[in-house]
Amino acid sequence: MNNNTLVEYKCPCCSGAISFDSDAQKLVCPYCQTEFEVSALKEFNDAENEAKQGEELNWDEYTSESGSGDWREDEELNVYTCSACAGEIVADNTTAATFCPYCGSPVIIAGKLSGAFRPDYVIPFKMNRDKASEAFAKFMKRRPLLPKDFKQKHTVEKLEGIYVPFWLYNCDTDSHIRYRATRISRWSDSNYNYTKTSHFLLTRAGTLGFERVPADGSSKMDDTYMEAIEPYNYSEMIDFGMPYLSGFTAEKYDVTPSEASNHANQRIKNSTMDKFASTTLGYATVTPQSTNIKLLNGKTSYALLPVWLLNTKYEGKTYTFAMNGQTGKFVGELPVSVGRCFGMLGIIAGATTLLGTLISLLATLF
Amino acid sequence: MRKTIKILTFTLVIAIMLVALAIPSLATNSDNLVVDKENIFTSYQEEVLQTTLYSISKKHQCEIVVVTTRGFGSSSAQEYAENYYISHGYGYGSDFSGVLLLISESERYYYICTSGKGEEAISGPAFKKLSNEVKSLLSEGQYYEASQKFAQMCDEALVSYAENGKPFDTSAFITGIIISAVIGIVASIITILVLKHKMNNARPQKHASYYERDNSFDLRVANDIYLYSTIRKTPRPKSNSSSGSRGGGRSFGGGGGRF
Repeated sequence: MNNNTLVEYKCPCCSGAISFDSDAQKLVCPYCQTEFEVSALKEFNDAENEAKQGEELNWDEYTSESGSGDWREDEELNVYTCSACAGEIVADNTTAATFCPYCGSPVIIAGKLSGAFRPDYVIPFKMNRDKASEAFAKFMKRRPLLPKDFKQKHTVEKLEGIYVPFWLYNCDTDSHIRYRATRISRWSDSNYNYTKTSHFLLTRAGTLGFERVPADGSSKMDDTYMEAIEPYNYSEMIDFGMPYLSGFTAEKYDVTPSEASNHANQRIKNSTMDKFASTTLGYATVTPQSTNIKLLNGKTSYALLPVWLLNTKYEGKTYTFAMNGQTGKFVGELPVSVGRCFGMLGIIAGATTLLGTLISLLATLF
Repeated sequence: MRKTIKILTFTLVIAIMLVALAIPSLATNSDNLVVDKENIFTSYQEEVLQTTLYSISKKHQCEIVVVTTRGFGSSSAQEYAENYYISHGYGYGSDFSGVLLLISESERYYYICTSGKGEEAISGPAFKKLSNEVKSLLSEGQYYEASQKFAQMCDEALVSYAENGKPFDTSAFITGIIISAVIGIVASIITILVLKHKMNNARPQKHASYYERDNSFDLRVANDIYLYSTIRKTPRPKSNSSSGSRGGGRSFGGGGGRF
């Protein structure tokens, strides 16, 4: 297969565009409702492709971007042609899976994912679009400070299921930490109060292992949101296969593992410090004096993890929400109504004042 | 015979008169209710005042006293009044109920101290009113009238107390309202801040504890070395008896000033 082939998975039954169903965890054809195991369809598709070699060669001649998509880093947008309807698909440099804007067929831009960029793992979507909408509705429930008209007036501009590229870091830490600690005892006699402060030097050294610490590899995705939807359940993480992407959007990484590792390293160091600190109990004060944490045996893997992104507009401002496509954890920021804040202030303060007035009236009369 | 009867009758009358005179002094807990050390009342005024004060005191079981003195010595007017009240054993009942008016013409200073039922009945705005009335009469030099007014107003306050209980303490009531308003505002601000914090749950992760590999923590070295100790000693405050030996820890209400 060439670098920039567009891949579309066709139903063996009716040749309709087939997509991955997160509820069934299989590929389901929306036209004839037949379900297929991912592995089965992959084999079928490979067989189809072998038969179509000739056609693809011709097709490459038309696509001006073939082979050079990976090299032209300065270009913002790339243009592909849909094999189903010959419509032009415009995608930015990092999009690896999207939908044809004319016929809606899901397409996968193989070149973005193959070769050096091929993901090692994927966690398939477990939550579908409806679950994402439900989670959003639930998130807005019982919010006394939410503006009254938000629920009616907000418009959902985008609800998109995206496979976000993540770097997963494995490493061992080898640490050597010194602390200054004190124990305090107090006693008194008839004339004086005594305080005895005993000073100690604590030394701790050891190793601690970490597995698959995630850091998102896409500059487009807000790192805070991607961290807020953690953790993913890695027991459901499987070797990467392209069919899972069908029906969703996927992004290629544009942040190198070393760039993304800065924050991951800091998190690892913080957890290591906490672990060692938990072995220094029994003192009044413990202060680290020197900290030496080495990160060893680093191994990085590349995974695509499922995220539902929701953008909604309210009074000219866009609010973004993200949901973990596997666990359903929903995060985001809702607007706060200043009027309702004052209303709440009035109610609570007023009720308390009224109660206090009654109590003090009774107290001064009796 | 007639002579004996005469003598006997005379002795009997004297005895009854003495007993009659003694009964009042037995009934009171104390000395005279009018102590005119500065001699600003005439003896007639003293007698009338004594009768008035006695009847009020007995009626309410609350001793009303007027004391005049040239100077207060080394004490303040308040200390002098309170110590005089205690040392002369004034006051009915276990809480020593009574009200004492201390006047000094030469110092141009007066003080009213209240105790027990006297303090409960005459406090806050009621006390202020009594104090102001007495002060205005004293400043005009009408010491006798001031004392009479004092007795009369004490009587009224005690009557009102007997009927209604404590007079309405407006300042305490207002303080109560203000405190509850402040608590209400603080509580609502805390609630609002907590709710506001919950409206945004997109927060970065500071740790990676979820990703620690099980059983991978190997603590090779764990040494705790003792270095040294320091001992600090602070002297304990000796309990000194506070100013003015009151004895028995009595508390008074009251106030006074220049006239």
